[in-house]
Amino acid sequence: MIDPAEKLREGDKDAWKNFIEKVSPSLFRLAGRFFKRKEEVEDAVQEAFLRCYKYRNSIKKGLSLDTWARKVTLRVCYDMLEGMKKSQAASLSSLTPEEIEVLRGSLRENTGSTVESSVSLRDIFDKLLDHLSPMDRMVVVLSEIEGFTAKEVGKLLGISTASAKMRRFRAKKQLSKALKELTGDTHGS
Amino acid sequence: MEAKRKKEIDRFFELYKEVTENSQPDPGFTERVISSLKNTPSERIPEREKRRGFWFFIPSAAAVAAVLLFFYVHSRVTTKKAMDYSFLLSPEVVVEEAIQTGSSVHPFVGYDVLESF
Repeated sequence: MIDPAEKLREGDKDAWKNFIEKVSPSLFRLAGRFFKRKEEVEDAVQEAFLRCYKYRNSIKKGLSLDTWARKVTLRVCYDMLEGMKKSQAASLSSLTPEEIEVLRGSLRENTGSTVESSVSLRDIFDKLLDHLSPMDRMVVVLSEIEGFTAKEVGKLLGISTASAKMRRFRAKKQLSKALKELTGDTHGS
Repeated sequence: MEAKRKKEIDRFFELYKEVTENSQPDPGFTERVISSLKNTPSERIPEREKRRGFWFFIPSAAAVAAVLLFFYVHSRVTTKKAMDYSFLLSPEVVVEEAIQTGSSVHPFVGYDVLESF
């Protein structure tokens, strides 16, 4: 049986089609953690496949293709977040009183968010996460949302386990501080 | 208070997960990617990295070799100087100096020279 990676290396059209169809949903979900707009998510995943194809000769035997595609997608997301960071103003100060009220309400509730509120919640959450560095944001999303361990996060992002742990701790501390600033009064602190 | 903060941030991540869950590719996505792959040339990263590593290695190795050569030559010259100095002195001078200063005689001075004193 021919190794699927070998077919991808050869540039076999059907192999690439199968590969894209197989890994696209997970890559879309992954990129969707970082970008709200559908076009941005699609751009990130498409760019990831282009990079995968471009560097197909570097696929090693026995390497998990899913992990490889995920790593490339994360790299693309990181580059895009870095690019966006330069054009972003202070995100926390841009939260409107209404948004702060929605945030307070959603954090107080123990039930799931409603469909109407999830639209604005995404904006609020993105603004909160935007004040983290792109790498810290990726680390905290991968560990807290995707459920990866620090070791796995380190491998995916090409950083050490210790660095992943440190970044996760720092990001959570920053987020906690931001939430305290925004919602602190409601908890009587 | 800490427990409240922890609960708050856990709730934040729980909601974030919920609101970022629904990204899915549309049906034409695969075809669009396949058509854009046609014009993408293949590149081999490791080879390029190897070449870059090779050209970076040459000046580094040359610098290290130059430093090692300098220390080697320096040590040879200073050893040579010390040895030449000891041989330039005549045995008589060495023994005279030893008698005056009360120090031990240089080991290179032969027994026959010592006997002459």
